[in-house]
Amino acid sequence: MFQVAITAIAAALLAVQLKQAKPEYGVYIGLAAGVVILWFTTDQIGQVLSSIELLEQYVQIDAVYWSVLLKITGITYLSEFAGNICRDAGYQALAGQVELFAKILIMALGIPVVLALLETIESLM
Amino acid sequence: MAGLGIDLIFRIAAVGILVSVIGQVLKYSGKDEHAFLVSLAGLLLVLFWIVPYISDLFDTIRRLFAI
Repeated sequence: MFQVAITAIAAALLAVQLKQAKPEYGVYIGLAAGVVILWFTTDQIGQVLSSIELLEQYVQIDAVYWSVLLKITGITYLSEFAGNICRDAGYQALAGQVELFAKILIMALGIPVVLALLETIESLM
Repeated sequence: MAGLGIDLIFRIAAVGILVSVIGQVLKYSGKDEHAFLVSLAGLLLVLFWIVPYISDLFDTIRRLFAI
């Protein structure tokens, strides 16, 4: 945790310093710091996901739904990162595009699950 | 991966400072095109450093989340 905090603070200070001379380097340092911190979080995510797999044995849920859930979290994760980097660089429309695409992708992933739910409800009727 | 972490950020900051200094010197000596070329070279160098880490990161995320 210390490394992440120090990286973030150092990157922020350096970015502010470099923003006057060369504005684009503020964005580069933001991107580099984002990549570094995301790198550390992916290590933690690995442990979380392995513990979720243990959970899967106790809760009898179809593996398909777990994979859809994982995919959706991964997609939001990446689109959040890309959108915020675009917002840092000052391109709000680009960030909106990335997040819109992610939302539509998530809807596309989620629809089969909804259909399966409706079918089970119909079969109960 | 080696080289990832704070020193990546310090390297980029160093490149940024160097490019801005060289750019100022070149600008005052009248060579504006060279100043632009130097800042372009700085951009390419920074991208050259960051892109492998970004691709590795996205590969890890793709593998983790089975996207």
